[in-house]
Amino acid sequence: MSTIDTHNAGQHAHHEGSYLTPHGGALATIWNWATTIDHKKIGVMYLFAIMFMFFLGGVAALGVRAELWEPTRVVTEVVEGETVTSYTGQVLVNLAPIVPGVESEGGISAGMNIYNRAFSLHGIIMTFMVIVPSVPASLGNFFLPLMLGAKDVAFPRLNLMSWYIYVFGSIFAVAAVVMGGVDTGWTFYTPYSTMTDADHLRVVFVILAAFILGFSSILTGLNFIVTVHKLRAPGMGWFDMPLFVWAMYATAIIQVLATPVIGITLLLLIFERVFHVGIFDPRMGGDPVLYQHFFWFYSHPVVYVMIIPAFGIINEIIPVHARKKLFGYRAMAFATLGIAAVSFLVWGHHMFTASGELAAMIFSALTFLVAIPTAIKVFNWVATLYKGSIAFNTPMLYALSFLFMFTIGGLTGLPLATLATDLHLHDSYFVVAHFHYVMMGGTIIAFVGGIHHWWPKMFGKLYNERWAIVGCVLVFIGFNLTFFTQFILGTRGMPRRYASYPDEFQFLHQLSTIGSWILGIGFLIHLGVFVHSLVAGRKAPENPWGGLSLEWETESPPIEHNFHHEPIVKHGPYDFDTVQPPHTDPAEFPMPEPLRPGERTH
Amino acid sequence: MNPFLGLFESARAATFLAQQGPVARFIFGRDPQEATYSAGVEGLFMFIFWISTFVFIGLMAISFYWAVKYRRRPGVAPQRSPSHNTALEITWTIIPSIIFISLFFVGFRVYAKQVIAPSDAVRLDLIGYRWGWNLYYPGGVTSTETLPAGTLSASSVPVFMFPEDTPILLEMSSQDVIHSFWVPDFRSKMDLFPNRSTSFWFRTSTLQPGDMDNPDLGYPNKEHILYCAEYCGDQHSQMLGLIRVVPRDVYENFLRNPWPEGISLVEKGKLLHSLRGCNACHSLDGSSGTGPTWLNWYGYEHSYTDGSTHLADADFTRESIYYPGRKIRSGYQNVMNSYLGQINEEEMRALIAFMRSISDQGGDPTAGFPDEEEEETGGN
Repeated sequence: MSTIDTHNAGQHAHHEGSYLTPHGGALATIWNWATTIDHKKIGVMYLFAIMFMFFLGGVAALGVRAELWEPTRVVTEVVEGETVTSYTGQVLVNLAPIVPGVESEGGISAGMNIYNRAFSLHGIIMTFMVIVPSVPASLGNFFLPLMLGAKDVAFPRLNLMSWYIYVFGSIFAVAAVVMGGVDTGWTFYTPYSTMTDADHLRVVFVILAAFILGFSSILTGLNFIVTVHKLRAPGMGWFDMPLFVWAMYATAIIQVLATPVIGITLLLLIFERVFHVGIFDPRMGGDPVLYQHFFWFYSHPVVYVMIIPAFGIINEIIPVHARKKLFGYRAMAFATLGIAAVSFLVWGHHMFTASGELAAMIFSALTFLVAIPTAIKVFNWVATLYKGSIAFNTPMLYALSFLFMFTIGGLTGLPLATLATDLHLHDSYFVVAHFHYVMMGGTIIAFVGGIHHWWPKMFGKLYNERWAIVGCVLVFIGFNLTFFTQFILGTRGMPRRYASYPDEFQFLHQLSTIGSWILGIGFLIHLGVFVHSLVAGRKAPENPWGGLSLEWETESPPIEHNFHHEPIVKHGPYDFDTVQPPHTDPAEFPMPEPLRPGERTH
Repeated sequence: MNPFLGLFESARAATFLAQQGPVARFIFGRDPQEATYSAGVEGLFMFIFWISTFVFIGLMAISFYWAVKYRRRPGVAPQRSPSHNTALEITWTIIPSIIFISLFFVGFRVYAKQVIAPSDAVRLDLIGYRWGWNLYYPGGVTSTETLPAGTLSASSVPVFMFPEDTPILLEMSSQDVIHSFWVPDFRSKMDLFPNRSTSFWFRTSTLQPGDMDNPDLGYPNKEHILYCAEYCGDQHSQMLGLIRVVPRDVYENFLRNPWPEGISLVEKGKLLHSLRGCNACHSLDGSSGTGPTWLNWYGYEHSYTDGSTHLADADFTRESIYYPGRKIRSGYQNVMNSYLGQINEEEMRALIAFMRSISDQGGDPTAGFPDEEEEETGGN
């Protein structure tokens, strides 16, 4: 086994404090964090920034669901001989006095315009500021070097720079929100995005924000690729790496290759809006479908930037909390790379209702190709549970929730990849439900599970398991109530991005809105659990779950330079049947019977 | 011989079995429109649905069973078990691959039915704009009927008639941004672009005496809701339409005589206000929307963003509709498209008469149109 060279770790333990140890007074500490090149501090800053953005995006989502509680209905009354028309069911219109740029005080347009801004805000924040950076920038930054046995990422200063680029980009986005927000949707489809709000800068600001955030993503990716290639601990071959590291590596490749395309596209869009250079807008000789090709050439691969890190987290949580060697390690690693490669070839499936028949046929076939490695992964996770020792704690419950919701998300991708059924379901609530099952039920659920899994390591504190489980159950119920109803709304004919709808859809919309409240309460409970843990949590042991990857070798929280000695890898990250995890008591984490002479390990 | 052909045929058989039954009705709500490809689309969806449900329940049952059976017990070690099994892994790679390949082919076959129109289809032009649809029948006739606000949406919704048992091919384009033509009952949709034409076809049902979606009409009819499915701005959710399949004689009579009998110029203008989508931006009750209200617009002086003021008379109204970008009312943005070529002289007169009728400075709405009586009674 094992990993690290522990011979005189005890003597050195006091030489170096935890990375969280304050340096001098409050101001000095703030300065120390603001200028840190420690990947752990940068990871923690990302984590809190992303949580804050998730809160903002979540508030926008609750606003969207509130608006959809009732459709906008027209009421005509005769008052003193005059016909008076009024509208009921509009909720967000009450924000009109505080939203800059909402022109009208009567009619239905003002409320619907605010609704459009709310769902655009939700989509833009959640995509560019939450899900894309979520796992790589926070947990990835923190744990990639630890899992590799390295002291830091390959380019620590570049890492700090990518953090500030993220902050800078987010400031542009927040500025645009303060200026009134945009109603383009997160996809910025032309020519709508070229025409809307023509004399305001806020649309340009938001596009610029997405452009700037792209650089943060590229630099993080570049850093991770080099780190994985150059900074693996002695003895760690490619197939000895934890699968979380494989996931970060595959993600980084996509980030580096695809993100420049969206950068160029968004820049062209800004040029078109500001300088009236005709590229996408037919009034100036451009082509709107060209925009869709450019946009999805990035945004489809980026779907895998969002989900592959989640696969990585699940690959850690399930083996550790089931105390089982991951089933099909190599298949998992190759499936991850395979998904990353094919992800570049499927962008056209977002345009089945827009492009030619031949292109649609080719893209449909390629899309099914992505489904195969994804299916393999799910089978491997399920097989890993067999004959394990499964702990029902928060990280594992999140991993099981992930299996449930991601499987639904994956299977509902099938009728969207199938040409005939996609023509019906495209741009309907079915699509909304499908990508929320993948992006939220997949990525966010895995992310929250991962935060719980690594929280004791990151902050050296345990959290209240009971309340965390309550939060997890509420999130599970709330999520499924919110989004499963939307599948049925979609098949029955509810188009997406509608501020109002015919009466027949109201019941399902109300169920969905109630679900969103339960979901919100679940996340608030998690927030409370985290705050309580930071303030009053019990001290965490080095290895509370019995993990075998290198991050569990060091202290909780890790010391400033991660390890007292450079670790030497002598066992795989999932060899739970042969290796007693470091810092664990054999009574608490008993090992299977040793092999009898002549018996083979599997 | 195609090795997958047998599989296709069984898939197709399963497809038609699957589309029957309460589960399909629960998922889709309204019945598929049976004359066209819709039932095939629905059947294929149900086929995927049942496979997915089977796979999902299987996986979850196994996971749940193992998670409970092998739950952690204090002091008990996990058992040894395989972490790799080539035969099993190849099996669970190949079986989904075969299912996916067959889904692709069946999906493509049905797709071909959705996008390839029969050569004898009746061709009509459909133009989408923010926020409405214009359907052009032979001879330049357009729809003359709307559902009142509140029936389907908060705005009034145009009604488009189609003859029964006829293949229809819509040649579609957009006037401004991208829209999408979706009739859920047909189980298909297609986008409309501002710089190219796309097409959408369907075959209307053969009406049975019992088909009375709108019982007030007095003749058999079937109705299908049309939605815009591509986000297009403030009133995206109000960009609806109603497709009404009617007996052929009713349709032909409509083509000869599109306006209701004895309709006055003012009433015609009021109908055009919603049929041409003016109602999306211009209210009639004094509230301002995306554009200024029409109530007390005619006959008053208004101020414009270039600092000028103008009296809203007949000529100025005409200019504002044909060249809306020339003068922008103070407090509004330039979002209106030109209606040049879409509103003919006859309709322009009706609109102006209607505007006069709702202004207290409008005077006699039909004044200035001395020949109104003869022309209207003559019909058009």
